[in-house]
Amino acid sequence: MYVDLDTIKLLWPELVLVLLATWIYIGGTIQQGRWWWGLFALAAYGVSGHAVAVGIVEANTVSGPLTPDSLGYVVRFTAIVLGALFTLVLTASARKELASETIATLMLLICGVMLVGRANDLVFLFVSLELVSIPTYVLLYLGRRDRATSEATVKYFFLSVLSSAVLLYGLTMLYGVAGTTTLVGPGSIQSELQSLSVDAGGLGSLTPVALVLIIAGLGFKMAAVPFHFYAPDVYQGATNANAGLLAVVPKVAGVIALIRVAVIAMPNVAEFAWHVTLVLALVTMTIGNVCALWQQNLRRLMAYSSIAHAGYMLIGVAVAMAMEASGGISGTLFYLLVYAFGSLGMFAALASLGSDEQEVSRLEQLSGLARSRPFVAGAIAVCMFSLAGIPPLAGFWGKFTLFTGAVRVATDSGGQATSVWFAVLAVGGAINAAIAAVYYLRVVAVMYFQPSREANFGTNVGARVVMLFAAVLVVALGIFPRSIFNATEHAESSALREKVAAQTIQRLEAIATSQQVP
Amino acid sequence: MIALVSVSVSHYLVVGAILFVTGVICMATKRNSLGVLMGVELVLNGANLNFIAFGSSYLRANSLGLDGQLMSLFVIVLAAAEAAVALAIALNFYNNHSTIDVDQASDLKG
Amino acid sequence: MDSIDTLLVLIPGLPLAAAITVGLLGARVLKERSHYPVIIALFGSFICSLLLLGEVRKEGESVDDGFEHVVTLWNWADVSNAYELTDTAAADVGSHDFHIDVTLRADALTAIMLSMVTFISSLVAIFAAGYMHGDRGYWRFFAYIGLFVFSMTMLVSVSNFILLFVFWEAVGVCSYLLIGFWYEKPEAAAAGKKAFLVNRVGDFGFALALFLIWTNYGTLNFHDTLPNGSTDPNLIAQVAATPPSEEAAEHAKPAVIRGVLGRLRIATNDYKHGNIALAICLLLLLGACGKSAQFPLHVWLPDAMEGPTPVSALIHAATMVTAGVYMVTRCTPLFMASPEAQLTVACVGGFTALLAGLIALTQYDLKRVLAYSTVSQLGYMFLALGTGTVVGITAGMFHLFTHAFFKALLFLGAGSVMHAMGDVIDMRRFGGLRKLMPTTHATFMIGCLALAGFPLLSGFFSKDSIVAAVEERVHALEHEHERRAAHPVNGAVANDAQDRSAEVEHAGVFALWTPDQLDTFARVYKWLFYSAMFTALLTTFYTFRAFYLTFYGEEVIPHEAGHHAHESPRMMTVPLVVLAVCAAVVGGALDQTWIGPARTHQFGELLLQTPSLANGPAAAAHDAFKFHGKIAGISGAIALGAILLATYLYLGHRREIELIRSLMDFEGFSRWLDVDSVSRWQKARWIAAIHRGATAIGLGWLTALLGNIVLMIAIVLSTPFLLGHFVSPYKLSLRKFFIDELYNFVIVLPLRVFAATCYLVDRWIVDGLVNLLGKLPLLFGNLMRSLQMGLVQFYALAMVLGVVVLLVAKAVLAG
Repeated sequence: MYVDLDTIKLLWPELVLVLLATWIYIGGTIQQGRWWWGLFALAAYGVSGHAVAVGIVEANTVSGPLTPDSLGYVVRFTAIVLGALFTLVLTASARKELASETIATLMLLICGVMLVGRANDLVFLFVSLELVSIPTYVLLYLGRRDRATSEATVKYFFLSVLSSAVLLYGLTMLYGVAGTTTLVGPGSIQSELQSLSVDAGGLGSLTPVALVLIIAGLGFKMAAVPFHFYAPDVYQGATNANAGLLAVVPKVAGVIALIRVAVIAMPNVAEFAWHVTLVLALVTMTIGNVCALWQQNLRRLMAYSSIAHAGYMLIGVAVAMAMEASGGISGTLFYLLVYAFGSLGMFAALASLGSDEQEVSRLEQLSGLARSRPFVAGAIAVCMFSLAGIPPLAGFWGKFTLFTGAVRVATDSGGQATSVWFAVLAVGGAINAAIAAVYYLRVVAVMYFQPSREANFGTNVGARVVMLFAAVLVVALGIFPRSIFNATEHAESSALREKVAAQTIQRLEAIATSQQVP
Repeated sequence: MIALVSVSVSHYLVVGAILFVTGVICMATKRNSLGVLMGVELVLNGANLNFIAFGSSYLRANSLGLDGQLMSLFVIVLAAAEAAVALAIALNFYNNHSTIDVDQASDLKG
Repeated sequence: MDSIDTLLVLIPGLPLAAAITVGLLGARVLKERSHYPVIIALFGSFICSLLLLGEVRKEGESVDDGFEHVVTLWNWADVSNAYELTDTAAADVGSHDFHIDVTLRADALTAIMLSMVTFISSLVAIFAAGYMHGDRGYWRFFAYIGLFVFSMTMLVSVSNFILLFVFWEAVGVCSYLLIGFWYEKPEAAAAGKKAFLVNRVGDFGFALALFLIWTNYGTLNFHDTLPNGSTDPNLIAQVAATPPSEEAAEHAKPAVIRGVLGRLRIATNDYKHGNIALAICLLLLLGACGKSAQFPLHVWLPDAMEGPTPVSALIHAATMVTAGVYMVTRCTPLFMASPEAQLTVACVGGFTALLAGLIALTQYDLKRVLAYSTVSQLGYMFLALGTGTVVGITAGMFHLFTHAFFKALLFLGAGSVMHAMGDVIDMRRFGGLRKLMPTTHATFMIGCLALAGFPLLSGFFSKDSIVAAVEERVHALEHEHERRAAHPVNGAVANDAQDRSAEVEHAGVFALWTPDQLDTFARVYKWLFYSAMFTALLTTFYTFRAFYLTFYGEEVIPHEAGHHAHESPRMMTVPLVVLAVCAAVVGGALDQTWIGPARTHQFGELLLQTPSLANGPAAAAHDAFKFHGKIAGISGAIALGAILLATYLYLGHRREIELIRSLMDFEGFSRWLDVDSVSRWQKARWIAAIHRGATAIGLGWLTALLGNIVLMIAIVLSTPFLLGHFVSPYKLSLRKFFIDELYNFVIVLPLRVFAATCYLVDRWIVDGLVNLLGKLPLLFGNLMRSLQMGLVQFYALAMVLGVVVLLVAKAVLAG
């Protein structure tokens, strides 16, 4: 485990983003203007994306703390696409004098997500997650300066720092138990923990503690119950664009980190892990959905929706923990993508309706939108239907794969108790999907069946482009889900292959040493 | 010296845990946001202590290299960065609320 | 042969193309020109049908056992080993494969039906272009018409029971759409619904019949096929001739799948007998009753007159309602296997004819009179089919053919009247339109004469041949019965195989009948014969009643007519004239036996080229077509007499008919026996005088007693008449024998009560529970929401507590 020039080469896409972000920070003091730096940032994402695409060729070189599996590539591409889309939204909605800072900060944030996607080392992972967190505080702070925003920023900051600390505390234990910071590979945490019994006493008994702390720390990023409290308040206080960012980007980072650490690298506590995750999944989606039923503020509604979706994603995580190669990781990834674009579309649509004087935040502001802004209403409706999981939109396939994964574990796993747990999970998921439909469809009903009201909506072109892109993508993924399924399935097998390979090497080494002894 | 010799990793872990809990209690009870920030620092330092303890070659038969120490250095740097952001946030909060007591921030709820 | 293939596809294809064109372009592009594609397509179909008829006729003359040609378009369903039968003894069901090809067939029956349907529909479409002018749903109407003609032509040309059922339903849907064409009118919507629902009852029977056919014959094809789906007759003959190899026999799948109405089966007359045959036929008959509006499913047809009048003419008089007749004719070999079923067909037909004739006597709605007349004439057709002889079946189909012309004519005439009268159709509200609408009057009169069976018009020949067929049947049965009585030894069903074959040779189709059966059947057919004669009288009478009420008497025009009250435009009168000419001559032209014994019954000869009629059991009952002078004379006299009677009663002052009406309504009786009027007698002067006198001599009690006795008698006597007042013959006829009310009370009302109960249970109990369940998430959500109190310290504490709870749970669970 060492760092050499190859590692730098592998990091090239992220380095591009960091360097150009720095350039924007510096250049922004000289050259003001939204679109100037917005287009610059788009170009930067283009360069970075190209670099990632080129990098796929040399994917087999393992180097330092980076893992080259295709899970990482899926995350990086997703991050770049999300970055470009959020750049469009933010460029058009940020205040002019702060546009360059906003864009550059977003770029660092995206860089953090990309690094999380390929981290194979605890130090690297933690620093990458902080690279997601700290720019988020700054972005929230830059969004608006009023009372609500400052309150939201303070809440997010303190709770996020606490969650980072909790995560860090869990990572220390993991480090202490395994004696290494590498996640997967020969001589890694994963291979060390493989043979370590939890119940034998000694350091091994710290593993479940580490697991709980890690789930807590990452659960905050995903907004899983009981680490979800910040989400409604913060989303409500933030601007629409920032709320969209909060709903999507940290969640991607959190889910990927959870998969990397808790699912792949901690095999000896899998039994406990899926119990915890399963209970959290059930509680999270239920609380998210039932609380969303009462909301009139759109961002608050979407926050609870985001909590509920974290619960759905945890279904996939639990499935992946309970049964290896069960499609759990693939399902979670797919769901994550579907959720990301559905949410992004919704928030972009809301951002596109806002003007400098007024921001769209309350549900009744949307009444009759179908007549005054048919395209925006259509895009919102598509996103709502997708998030509700109504076929043939992408959200349906997301829920479908997650629930079938749970059912598969329920039917295929030998254990009686496991079957019952996962059957309960699948049924709970289905009931929750029904409850969720109520508030999603309420939004659609308000837009389509209530009288139009006088409102001077803004026309945020960037956000509108993003909204249409997301809506089209949601429909397209609903009709042709296969392409993304292929990618996520490949990502899963690739991520697990590292694990399997490590196990094989370990076994070979064991054989070799046992042969040398006599 | 016998007492010193018998100090092991677990002692450090206990101290780290005490720091962690103290920090959490500090966060939960302090109204002043700088006080809350101090609690955060305590929590982070509890974790740092764990890293040092686990990585220390004096406390463990087989040395684990410098990863632990390195990690705590990173954490210290991150804490500094967070403190900087925290100050800006606190200032903004003061502008809007004329106080930095975080329990004043309860407009958003439900 | 290739030309036949093309024609078979073109005939339904053109109307479908037109329907799609109008359906897609009608609303935006074609609008008021929507009728052009449809009329052109229908006319094209008609030309194709004539060509097809010519081809079929030419081909048919060269073969003895009938001509058929089957075109396979594509495979629709192919399920190998659809089911396993434990009893593989029956060779037919050995195939097990459910193989449905979309096949069309050309034979004489199909060609005749196609020509008739396309001809009538072309004329109706032209008429409708005038009649529907300016309607909001103009294009929709023509799209439906195109769709209907497509479905109808497919119905008569498919060669498979499944497809027959599919298009059976398709014409039902078109009928439903067109009855409810003016769906804003609640009556129209209700009538559409009623037609649809009543037809479901029939379809239920039809579907069951198909299941029975499938399980008993192992196929639903009309024609023979090879297992690979080939229908080449030469190939089939070749395969059928080669004896099956050992291997194939073991395989239990026959080399040739013999169609239900295929040549191979007909030639050997290999049909199920007994109860299975009876069940299949009765279920088919139920289906036919639904579609052809026979008792007890006739109730939908009069209500169907809520649709536009051209639709009534096309669908509910000339074409669709004859689908049942077509189906029964098509399945002749199946019906031949069950004499009881034939008798049922005849009885249903005869009874319906009489019932509908009686109802038609008193209706005031011109279209309803015609509708009941349609029901009645369809009953005639069923009666003819029920005779089970080739002459009878031919007579039924011939009546179907001629009826299509004159009934379409009459309906279009009624439509012309309605058009002029501003959609008023109640005959009490107009009259004396003779001068106003001369063309309509003239053509309507020809239609009436044809329907009435006026000598030498088309209805005369067809109806006459039906009555004659029934009479022949009676004769044949009686003759056989007498022969058996004379030779009792041969009479009983012979057990010995040799005796039996000899018996078959001697007794023909009656070989398997018992003397009791012969006797009973003969009597029933005899009654049906009388009933048919009486119905002929009724038919003539009610037809001319309607005719006179509409066109003669004092000229009355309803105010709705407005400036419309004049002769209809050329577009509408031309089809009337064409149809009138056809209605007049088509019967005599196609059945030339009346000219002399040297001339042939051309329609019958052509029809008999249909394989299922040319060969097998039906052919065994073949008797030469001849003109029945006696019957013709009687029915001609009946027609003339009834016309004269109607003329006497309805022309000029209508005093007599009022008298008859009040007599039939028991009005006079009830007045005489009314309790009030009896008690009024004591006020009459002479009675009062007698009473006073009697009181004066102390006998007042006597007269009072007498008066009370008279009152008592009056009360006792009046009771039946009071009841009779509600069910007098007149009321029965006017209220359609209360059949609708009966159905409402026995079927609809209980169903509604049941449905209402279910609704209440669902509404209050099930929904209540569900709503309660729906409230739970809300309540829970409100509870959870209160945790979100906005304090950042609390949030931090909650997070840490969450961690602690999980750790404690682990510790506890670990033990």
